[in-house]
Amino acid sequence: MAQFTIISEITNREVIASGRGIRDLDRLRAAYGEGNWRKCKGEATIELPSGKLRRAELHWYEAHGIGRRLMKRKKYLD
Amino acid sequence: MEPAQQRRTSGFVVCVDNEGHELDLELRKVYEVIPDESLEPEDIRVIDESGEDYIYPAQYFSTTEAMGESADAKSVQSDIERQARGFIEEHKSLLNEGSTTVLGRVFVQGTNIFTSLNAEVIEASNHAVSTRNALADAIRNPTTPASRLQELEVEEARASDIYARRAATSQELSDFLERVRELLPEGGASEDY
Repeated sequence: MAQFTIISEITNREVIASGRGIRDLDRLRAAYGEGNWRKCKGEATIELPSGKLRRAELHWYEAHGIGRRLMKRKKYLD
Repeated sequence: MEPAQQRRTSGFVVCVDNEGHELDLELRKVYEVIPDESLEPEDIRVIDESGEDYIYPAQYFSTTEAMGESADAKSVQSDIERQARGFIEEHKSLLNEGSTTVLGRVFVQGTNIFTSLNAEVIEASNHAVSTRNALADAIRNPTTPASRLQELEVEEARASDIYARRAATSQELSDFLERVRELLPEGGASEDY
């Protein structure tokens, strides 16, 4: 079940942690592979399963060659 | 989908589904709920395995009534707390017999754990203040039901216990690291941290 769908461009993207600064680093690597992992945040408009649109701050992990993983909602901005 | 009126807005819940978030949530594990009035009826905010609070579908969780409301502070001891206590136990003998090289490594490892633990202490402190304020607001509001007051009192006591325990663990680790540092040669550990 998709929790939400990102329907806008992700803006205000920032890296908030990287490498050993990431608490879940070992688990990330075990699950998705070795890589230069970074924890990022950004803002986007998302569509919820109910059809409602919300502006949200999203957090995720990404690594070059692997892509984005574990996208989740930190908070609503609207 | 869990009806809005049954969704927990505080206390603890059990994860019953973690589809798409197998690293963030563990099935059958208890998670702490964080109040958030901005959520949709189908949402819930919990502190997940990353140690931070995020929004998840409420249907991923079940209330802890079936377990009894005895999900006390000890049962939600964080991984970092356990790691910190285990770290002290494992290395305290080195205060009498460790080499400088080993002590240096221990100091760096311990400092990393201390940094993560301190972040949790701050989170726990903020949460304890938040629950205390919510309780105070509820007491001041003459329309607050007695059952809601009781729920908030339990939550405030639990949040205070969690904060006190984490702060104590942080202090123990800090004291231990100070003793390690005193044993290191002038200049301390050589690595940056």
